[in-house]
Amino acid sequence: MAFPRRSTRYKLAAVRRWLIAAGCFTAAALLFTAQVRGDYWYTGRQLTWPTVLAISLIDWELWTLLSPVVLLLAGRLPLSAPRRVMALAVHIPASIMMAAGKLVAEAAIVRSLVNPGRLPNAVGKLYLTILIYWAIVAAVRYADQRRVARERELRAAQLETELARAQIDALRMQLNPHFLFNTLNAISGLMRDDVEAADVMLAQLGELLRSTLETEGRPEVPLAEELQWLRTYLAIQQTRFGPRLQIAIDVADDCRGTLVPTLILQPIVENAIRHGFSVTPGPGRVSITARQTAGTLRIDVADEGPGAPQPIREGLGLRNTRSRLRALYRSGGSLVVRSRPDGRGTLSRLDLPVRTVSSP
Amino acid sequence: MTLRALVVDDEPIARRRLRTLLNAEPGVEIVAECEDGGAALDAVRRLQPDVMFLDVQMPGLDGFDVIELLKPDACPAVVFITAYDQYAMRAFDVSAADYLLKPFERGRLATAIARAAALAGTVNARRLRALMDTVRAGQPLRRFLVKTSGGAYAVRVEDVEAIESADHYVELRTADRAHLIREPLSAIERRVDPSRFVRIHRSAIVNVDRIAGLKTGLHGEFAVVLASGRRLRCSRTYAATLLRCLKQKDSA
Repeated sequence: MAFPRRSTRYKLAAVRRWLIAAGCFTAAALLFTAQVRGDYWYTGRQLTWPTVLAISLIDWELWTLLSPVVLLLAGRLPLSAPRRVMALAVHIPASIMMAAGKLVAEAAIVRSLVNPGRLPNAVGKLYLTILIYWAIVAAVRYADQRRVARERELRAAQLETELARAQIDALRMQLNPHFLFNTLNAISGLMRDDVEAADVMLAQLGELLRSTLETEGRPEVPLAEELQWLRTYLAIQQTRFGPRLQIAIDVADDCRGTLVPTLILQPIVENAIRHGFSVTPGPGRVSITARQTAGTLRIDVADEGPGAPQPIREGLGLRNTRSRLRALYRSGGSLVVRSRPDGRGTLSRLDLPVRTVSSP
Repeated sequence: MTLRALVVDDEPIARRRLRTLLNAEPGVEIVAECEDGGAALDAVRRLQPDVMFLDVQMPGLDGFDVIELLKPDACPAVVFITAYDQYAMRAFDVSAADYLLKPFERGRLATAIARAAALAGTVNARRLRALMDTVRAGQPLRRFLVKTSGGAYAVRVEDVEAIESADHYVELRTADRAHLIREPLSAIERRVDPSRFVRIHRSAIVNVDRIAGLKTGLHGEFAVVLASGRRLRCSRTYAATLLRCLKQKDSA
């Protein structure tokens, strides 16, 4: 089933609210039937049950007719912080006018039904009617708050899932047999004639595994921190492949504090090494560039391999990356993977909205 | 008698490690070290070693490509080396080929050397043929090996948009060039992934991912337009299969 468009969804929500209101008013009409009979009995008139029910229904179903206006006003002008005064300035006169108008209309209809005679309790009813208007406003505010809270909860849960998935991806990469066993083999080789280098490589492997486990549940980290992690990974690869692998990291100073999704660069750089560098004989460069302009952080990862096949058959890593971008930025972030224009290698371009630690 | 060994691995430290270990073994002499498959092919032809320690995963031509491209009687005893490759390991086991898993220990290497020494000089072509058959069987071709006068190179199947037969050869057409392979079209058709490559004519197979459009012609025939702009006639016999394949791809 296709998901309804945004506007359609809001229309559906509004209709749903109105139906709930209509249900409440009808229930009230039934409940208040005995009360109405009592009111008329007090003024000395005995009415039949059907008449009394009709009077009660007229009273409450008029609210069903009027409530779309109230729901609309309450939705547009919520009684919350920034525009509370403005909202009160509209709702107070609106409530009085609507209550008065409603009572006049009600009186006219009821009079035609049980004519003639004085209607019970006309003035006392004005207060009750105004109160019902405010009850609707309050109900709308309550429902809105609940919806916002629910959405926030859902989003938090979603971000948590995506982060966990990224963490698993990163671990999968580190425990990838080719990476892990080749790294162990390299350490074993270094151990014989360069104990210092073997020691460094062991420490790097340890650090890589540890930092992946210790993301502390933060969905985003400053780019500088993400690069720290990446440098450890690349240092290991550098030791393995030696001068054949050339790594160029070029990050503008103003990008370092910008938040990026935790471990976002891992699958992208891994692809560049696995499908670009390591399948091409001879020296190869993997370059990582970060620049930010006009509210967008752009990170390019380029290799000099055979280029991305068109159409690209995307692996799990890239698909997960995209779903994380959607969870964090909706349509504000993007990842494009394609062959470089000069035909030499693949370019992965990540565009993210600029957010920093201080700004929410 | 010394065993003349060739070391093939793309990682310098891994080569160094193997060199150190082999130097410590009596009766083994390293004749050369290579960092990719192309260099290995060349070294085997030039130096005719007794044994080759061959890494499976390498840039360009991988370990299996090297075996496939060597003439069976010119191939030395082979000890495969891999970090981990379930598929390859199964093939090694099935064909009784010797292999080492990284990182391997000295004792395991000594066993491999002893076995290789026993094999050296005997004809192991049949064993290697059996290994290659196991490796290639069951999984669709991922790259084509193109032999040249000087050596060979690999072309990824996803980069090939059409395969057309031309006399005794077939032409692999990529976006910007053609590669010649001496193999009948029907043999290639059997080896490629049938959901990706479809026959459209007696003498042509196309990559469905590379089809840009179809142009209808007379008598129910039509032309297939490829991403590069190249047009190929699709004969009536094969039209139905092609359309079914395109439909499947759309719904996938």
